[in-house]
Amino acid sequence: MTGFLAIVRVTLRQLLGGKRLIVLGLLGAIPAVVVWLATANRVSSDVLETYNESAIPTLFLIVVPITSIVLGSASLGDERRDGTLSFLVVRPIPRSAIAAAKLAAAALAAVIVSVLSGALASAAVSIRTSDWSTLVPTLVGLAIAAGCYAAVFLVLGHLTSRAVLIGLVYLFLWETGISFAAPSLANISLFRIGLTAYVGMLPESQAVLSEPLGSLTPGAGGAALKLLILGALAIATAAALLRTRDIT
Amino acid sequence: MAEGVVFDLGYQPHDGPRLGRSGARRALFKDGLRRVLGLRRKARKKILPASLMAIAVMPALFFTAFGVIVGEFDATVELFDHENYFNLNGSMALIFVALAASELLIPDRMNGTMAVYASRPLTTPDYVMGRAGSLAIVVFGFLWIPHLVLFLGRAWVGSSGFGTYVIDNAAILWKTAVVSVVYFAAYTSIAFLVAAFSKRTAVAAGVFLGIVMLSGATAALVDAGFSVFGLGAILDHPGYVKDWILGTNTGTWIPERAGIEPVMSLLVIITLTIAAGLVVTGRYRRAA
Amino acid sequence: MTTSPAFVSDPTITVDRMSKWFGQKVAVSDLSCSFGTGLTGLLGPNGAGKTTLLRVIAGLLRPSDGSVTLLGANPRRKPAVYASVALVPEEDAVYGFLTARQFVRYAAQLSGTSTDLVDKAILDVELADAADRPISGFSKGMRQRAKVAAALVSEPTVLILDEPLNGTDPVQRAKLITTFRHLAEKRTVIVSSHVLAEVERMADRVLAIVDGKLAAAGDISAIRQAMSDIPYRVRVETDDARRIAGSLMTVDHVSSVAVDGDTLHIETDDLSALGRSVPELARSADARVTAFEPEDESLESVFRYLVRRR
Repeated sequence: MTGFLAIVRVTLRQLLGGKRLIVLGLLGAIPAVVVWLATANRVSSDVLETYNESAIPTLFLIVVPITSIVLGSASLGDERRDGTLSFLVVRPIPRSAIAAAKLAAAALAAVIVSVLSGALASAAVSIRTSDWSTLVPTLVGLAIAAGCYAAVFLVLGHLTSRAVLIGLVYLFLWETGISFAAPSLANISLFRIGLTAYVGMLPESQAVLSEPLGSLTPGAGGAALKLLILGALAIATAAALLRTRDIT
Repeated sequence: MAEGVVFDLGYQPHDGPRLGRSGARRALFKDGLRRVLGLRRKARKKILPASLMAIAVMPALFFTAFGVIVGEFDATVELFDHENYFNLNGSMALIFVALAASELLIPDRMNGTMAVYASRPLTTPDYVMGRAGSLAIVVFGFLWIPHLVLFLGRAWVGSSGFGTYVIDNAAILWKTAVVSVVYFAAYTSIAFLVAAFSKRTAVAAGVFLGIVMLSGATAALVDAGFSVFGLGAILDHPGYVKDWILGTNTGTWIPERAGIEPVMSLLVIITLTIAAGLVVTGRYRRAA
Repeated sequence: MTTSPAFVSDPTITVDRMSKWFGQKVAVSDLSCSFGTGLTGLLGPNGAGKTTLLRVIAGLLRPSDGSVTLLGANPRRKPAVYASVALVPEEDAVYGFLTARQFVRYAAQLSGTSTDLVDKAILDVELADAADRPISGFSKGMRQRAKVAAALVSEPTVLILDEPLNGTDPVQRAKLITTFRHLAEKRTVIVSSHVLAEVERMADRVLAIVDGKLAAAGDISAIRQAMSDIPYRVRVETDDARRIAGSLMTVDHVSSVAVDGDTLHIETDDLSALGRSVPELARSADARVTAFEPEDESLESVFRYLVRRR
């Protein structure tokens, strides 16, 4: 357990240290600023609609994916590229524990940035309307989406140095483009896992967000389960790669 | 008393021409091209540029082939036009610039090879311009060659005849070339700015794309009456200028909704390019 | 198997017909050897396969053929073995954002050893003054020492060091060599190095690798004696060099003699016979011999010979 926690701690420092947290934090603050200014002098129902039309897509389609792709890929990937993976692996710690610790750190880092961004945006809306009902669904939805991206890109980051590129292409072409072409394509989308949790906890947002949801049924429970499955698969895959792949 | 002797090992100084600053610039430019295109590198370094170019050119080839096969020549000419084509390969260019800019700038700083450049007859502006120049050639080619292919394809299948089409529509070529330069300037300035301050290529690419995509959030602000935020719609400025130059109307761009004139968008891009150039040059002066 | 100098009795590490290739490049070819308590120097030119061998032993690389056991187990299958193993890799495997103390503490936590040993490890490598500075600001030698401290803190039974003296100054080097020799009294220590003079001083036993194959193994002098196809070079100091040189030229086992002032450089294929001839000839010539030293029993000459043979 000591080793596990030590890996989580050091990895968190590695991922969020220096200017990275400041830059990601600044990016994450933009949705809050936008929604605050855009909802000035509006009635409550319009405020919620603006929130669902502008802040939620920005959070789920830009802030969370970019943050999680960068941090998820870096968690194991940076160790490999910096040559410190040998330092980590020549230890009496099961490979699955190393993989789990790395995923925990990556997910935690991504969740911290995403949730802070979402909290600010939701707070902006809540202050306008004196209705804090968007806060918890936003945080839960973003956390689940961040966790899903972190899980997938933890593995990809270990496999290839181009993981962020692959992630950005996936985001740009698939998540924000092709996956909107048909409702059934929404099933193959990471951000929508989090979005279903959000809509499941805030049903009144479904009218505005029906298009991105496609054929998916909203529900936080299902989303959480998908996250757990993705996480377990990511840990198993990363552990297998640590066991079998050469560390040059 | 200790004695010493120096032996002549036959070392010969270089008597040939010294290429000087222009030679160094050319070498830097060629190195940049190789990095961006993955030339003289492993095959997987070529996959991205080759794939993106293929995706960019494919629609032009497809619609030309379609016109030839179906025989609906004039319909083909209407099906896919130059102004909409920029919306497709503009997105490709964005991803390409995100990766290429960081590949061009970050490794030199992180691997400690800036000292090598500093010890050559290259000034810091030479270095920055050389890197920008390599990227410019590739991105311009990436953006404009599909238009050339589309233009020639439409001339080929159009009912007015090849020569007539070319003569009547030659202006399209220089206009699309200018628009390609505008897209390049808009994207590369920010990409270089981010890459100049980042330590990792992946993070720089992510932050750059994040900034560009988040600029789309200014739409909500503009619609709420804060027109000045229309100036921050980086993603939309090139498209707005494109419509102005080509005399078309392919979308409701954020600057347009903010009441900003297209020439103002162009001014924003030019200002951004100059400012980025100055900041990056200053940064590299300190780094070298 | 244990009679060859490439093997030890009671080994902690066994390499059995191990080969490792990367695509078309064969880095190590059919290599068999073992390591036990004591300090073994791993020698070879650049690209010989030393680092590959060490990384296979450490479980970072999978053998393409053959097998490696470390403390009786395959480390890739049984990570628990690493509780007694420490590796100091050649590359700069440090976290720049951590201080030296934090880095060594992290190593202790990962290895499951007490963090009370952190200060001792830092003292052992003389990094106490810089222990609370970020490693990113360290020189190469300081980073190297930080890595060694991180290895020592886990109190390993097996210590694998790949070029551990890189970047260290002579004083630090001497201190580290003393530390390694001290550790090797009760542990298995493998050191790979290009600094031949230090390997000569450190190692009880040497394995020389050339082009991925084991070229020589054992005690340095014994290796030299095993190279019977090249003449020995001996340096003799005497007060009547020319006269003794003239006499030596008539002796069968002497192939050449060079005179350099009061020094003779003699080539012979029978060192023992020369050792008998020189005093006799000196007595006959009423000359005094003040030194009789083999010139090429150093590791450097052995190394050069092995490399030249390929």
